[in-house]
Amino acid sequence: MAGSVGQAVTSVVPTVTKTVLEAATETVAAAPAVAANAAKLGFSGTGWLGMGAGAAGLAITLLDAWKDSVGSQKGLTAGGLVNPTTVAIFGGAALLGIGEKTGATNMLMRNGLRGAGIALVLGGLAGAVAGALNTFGNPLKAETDAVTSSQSQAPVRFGTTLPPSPANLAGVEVASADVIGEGRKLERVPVYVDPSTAKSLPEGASLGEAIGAARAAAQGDGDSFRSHAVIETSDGKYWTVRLSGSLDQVDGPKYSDGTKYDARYDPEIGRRQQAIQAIAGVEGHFAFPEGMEPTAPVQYTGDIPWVTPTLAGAKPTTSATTPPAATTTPAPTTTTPAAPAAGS
Amino acid sequence: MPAFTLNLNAARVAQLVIGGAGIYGGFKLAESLVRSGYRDDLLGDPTRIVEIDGKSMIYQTRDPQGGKLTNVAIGGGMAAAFAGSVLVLGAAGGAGLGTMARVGLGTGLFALGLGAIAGATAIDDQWRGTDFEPIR
Repeated sequence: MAGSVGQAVTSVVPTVTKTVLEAATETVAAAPAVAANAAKLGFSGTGWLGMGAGAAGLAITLLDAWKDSVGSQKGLTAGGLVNPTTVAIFGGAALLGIGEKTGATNMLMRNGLRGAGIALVLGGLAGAVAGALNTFGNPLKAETDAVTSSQSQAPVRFGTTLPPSPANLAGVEVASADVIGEGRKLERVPVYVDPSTAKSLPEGASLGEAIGAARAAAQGDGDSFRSHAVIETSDGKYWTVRLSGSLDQVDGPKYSDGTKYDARYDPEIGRRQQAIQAIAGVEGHFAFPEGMEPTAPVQYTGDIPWVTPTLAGAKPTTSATTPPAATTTPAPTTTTPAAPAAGS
Repeated sequence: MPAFTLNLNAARVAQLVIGGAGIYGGFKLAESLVRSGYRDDLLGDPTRIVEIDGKSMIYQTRDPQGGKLTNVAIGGGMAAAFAGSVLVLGAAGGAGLGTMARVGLGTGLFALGLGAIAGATAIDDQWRGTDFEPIR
């Protein structure tokens, strides 16, 4: 058996090798002939292919930009006409033109420029198609989503729709806090809500009243260091809801007691869901910079992810985004840290 | 203009396989590179501490990386396609293992570059402009 297989292999290998070598030779020999023939017409077949693909890519990009511009005051620029896709197409067309017509007398350089140009144009065309699919809708989206993981899916913009009820926020990261952690490292801490603790406010209640209710809930919570949030649902109602997750570790005395976060610096809170309207922190870090009155406006607490955090230690002068901690911090001597709550 | 003919033989099949693998590999490579850059821009650590002095810290604002990585992937893909084309179309004629290797390598490089450019532009188009909304 082994002998017959070996015999078969020895008989096949020379045949395949010969065929492969002949074909490789044919590939190499055909290239100059095709190029020379096409040169009589101006552009080679590769050149026409590249230019055609580039034109198609630009047309798709323009169509995409036009769709994005509908309803926008920015006009066609709303869709971003100058982007990697168009740059790749124009760059590829330029390289292709140089390789085809002018500039390169060296054969290797000509071939290289033409190859790089065609790759850029075709890559740009792929980008244009991907962008247009995003804009106009992908007919294969359901099938694609079904077979791809969440890692391979594009993100959706941060939600602008309000949930029908607080229960829809279960397990959803509603906000995040940038805090100083171990090793003086800046960390992002997720913030969640506990929908089972949601309490609706009366019909017609204002945001100020809702903030006041959240503040009262925070003060009256059995766990001294629990923060509460104001949630708005799609029917326009406000709810107060207890926060869960790690925010308590960056808020209040527990922030500096037995946790890995540095108490000397106020965390920066970024909103991640439209539903959350305010956070009533135990020490008033986030939502009540001017005090604890129910009509206090929601404070702008900083952009994420690229804004430089406002650090009390680094900036002695109070800026517009610095919470006046001195006016909102309760006396620490009256507070006894409790054991960490479950879920913190 | 000569009639277009396609001789499908072992070498052509090998070229197609190498080309397909190259396009797929380049696409996935650039895709993951650009996506990770944009994901870090949105979800990663926002800044880093460059100096600590007692109670104060000096922060360096983090620059967005997604767009830069897109440009890197496109540039790398362009270079790979350039080299691949030089190898394939500039190979000296004649039957030999050297020629076959050059054609195969060139095909792979060109396909890798093409895939990288396609992956970078496609993923960039999906992620560019995504952002979170700060509290106001």
